[in-house]
Amino acid sequence: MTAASNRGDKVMEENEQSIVDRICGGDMSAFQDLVERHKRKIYYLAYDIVGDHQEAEDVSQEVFIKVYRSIHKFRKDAKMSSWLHQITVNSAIDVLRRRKVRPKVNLEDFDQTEVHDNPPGAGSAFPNPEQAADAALLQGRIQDALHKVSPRERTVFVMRHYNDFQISEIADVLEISSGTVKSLLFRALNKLRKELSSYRGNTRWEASYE
Amino acid sequence: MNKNKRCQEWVAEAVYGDLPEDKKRIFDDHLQQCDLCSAAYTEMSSTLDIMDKRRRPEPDNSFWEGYWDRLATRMEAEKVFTSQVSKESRKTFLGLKFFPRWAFQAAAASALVVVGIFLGRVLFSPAPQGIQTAGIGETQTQVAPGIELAQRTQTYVQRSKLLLLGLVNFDASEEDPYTLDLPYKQQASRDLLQEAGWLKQELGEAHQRRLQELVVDLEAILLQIANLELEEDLAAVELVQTGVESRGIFLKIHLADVAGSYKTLENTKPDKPATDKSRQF
Ligand SMILES: [Zn+2]
Repeated sequence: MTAASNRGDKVMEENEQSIVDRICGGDMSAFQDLVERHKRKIYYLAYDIVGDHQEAEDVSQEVFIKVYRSIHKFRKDAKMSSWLHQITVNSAIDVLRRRKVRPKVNLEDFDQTEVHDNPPGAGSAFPNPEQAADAALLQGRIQDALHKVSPRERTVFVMRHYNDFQISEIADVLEISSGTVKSLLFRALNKLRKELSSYRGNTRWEASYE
Repeated sequence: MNKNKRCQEWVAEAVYGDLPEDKKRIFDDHLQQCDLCSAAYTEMSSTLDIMDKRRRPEPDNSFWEGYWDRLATRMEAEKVFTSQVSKESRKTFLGLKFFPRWAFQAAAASALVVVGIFLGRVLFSPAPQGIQTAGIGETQTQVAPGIELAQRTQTYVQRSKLLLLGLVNFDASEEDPYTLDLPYKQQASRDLLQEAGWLKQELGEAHQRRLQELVVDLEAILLQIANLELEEDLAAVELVQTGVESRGIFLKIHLADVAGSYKTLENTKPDKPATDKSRQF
C-alpha cells in the first residue's frame, strides 16, 4: 500500500468519525451522507448472499436502520465499513435461515440486466438466439452452483470473489480466524468445482483431500 | 496442522494470488510433486474463470436516486427517527412537525439531481447554501429571516416539484400504479400543505407576491393529491396531470428560479421588519 493511499485512508477514517459524531448529535444530513457513501457496497454484498433484488434492498435498509439505532454504541477505534459489512452479512444470512429454502434464481433480474447492457438501438450482446440461450443457461448454472454452497461458505466466497474483500478483512467481519476463512473458501471452491465440472469439460480430478 | 488442511488453505490463497512470495515458492515446488494439489489448483482456477462470467443484475439509476427516500420513508413508518432525536433538536424546527422539515431538506437535495435529469441544468439557479447541508442539530435562529424564508420557500417548491414530476411522468399504459407509491406521496403532500400554510402567510407579510402565488398554486395541486381516492388512482393521477398542465406549474417554478426570486428574498435586510419590503417589487 502506498503512502498516499494510507493518507487517504486516514482522512476517510477522520471523516467517518466526524460523521458518526454528527449523527449522534442528531444531524440527519450526516446520516444521509453515510447512506450515500455505503449503499452500493452494502446492496451488492447483500445481493450476492441472498440472490434476490428486493430482499437485497430490504437487507441493506435494515443495515442502515440498525446502524442508526445503535450509532452511539459504535466504538471509536472500530472501522465503520467493517461494522456495516458485519451487520450486512448477519442480516443476509438471517434472511437465508428464515427462508429455509434454496435462494431463488430470479430470471427477471437477468432480463433486466440485458436491458441495461443493451440500450434501445444498441443491438443484442448475442448475435443469435442460440448464443443468448446458452448464456442464459450458463447464468442459471452459475447461480444454481452458488446456492448449493452453504450460507457461510457462500458468504466467504462472494466476499472474496465478487466484493474484493481480503482474507483478513473477511476474518474481521465474520469474527473468525483467517485459517477458518481459508477453509470455508476452499470448501466453497471445491463445491463450485464439482457443480460446474461439466462446464469445464474436465472431470479428471476425482480424488479429494477428505 | 495436518498436511491436507495446509494444502487446502494454500490452494484457496494461491488461486487468488494471495500467497506471499516465500509461501508461493514452497507451494510451486509442492505442485510439482503433489498431484492432488496440482489438480485442485488447475481445476479451481478454471472454476473461478466460469464464476467470473456471472452477471450481477444492475439496478438502474432511479433505484439509486430513490434509495434514500425509500429508506427515509421506511424509517419514518417504523418510527426509527423519533426515538433518536432529543427534544432539544426538535425545538429548532420552528413549530413544524419533525419529519416534514428534514425530509424536505433531504428530498430537496435529491430533487436537484432528479429534476436536473428531466429539465436540464439550465433551469436551476444555485440553491442557497444550507438547503442541502442544514441538519437537525443546527439551529435556524441565527439565520437572517429573509434567508430562512427563502430557503424554506425554495425547499417547499423543489419538494413539490419532485412530487409532481413523479405523477406527471407516470405513464399509466406502461407502468404499474403500485410504483407510484401514492400513500407516500399523499403523506408528503399533507406535510407540504402544512408548510404551505405558513409560507403563504409569511410571504404575504414579506410582500413576496410572486412567490406567494406559486406557493398557492402548488398548494391547490397538493390538496388534490392529498385527497386522491386510492381506488381510482389512475383517473385521479390524470386529474392531477391536467391540473399541473393547466396551471403552468412547471413554467412558474422555472420562472421563480431564473428570475432569482429566492435570491431577492434572501437579500432582504435582516434588521428590518418583515413587513417593510414593498420596494422589492
Ligand atoms: Zn498437496
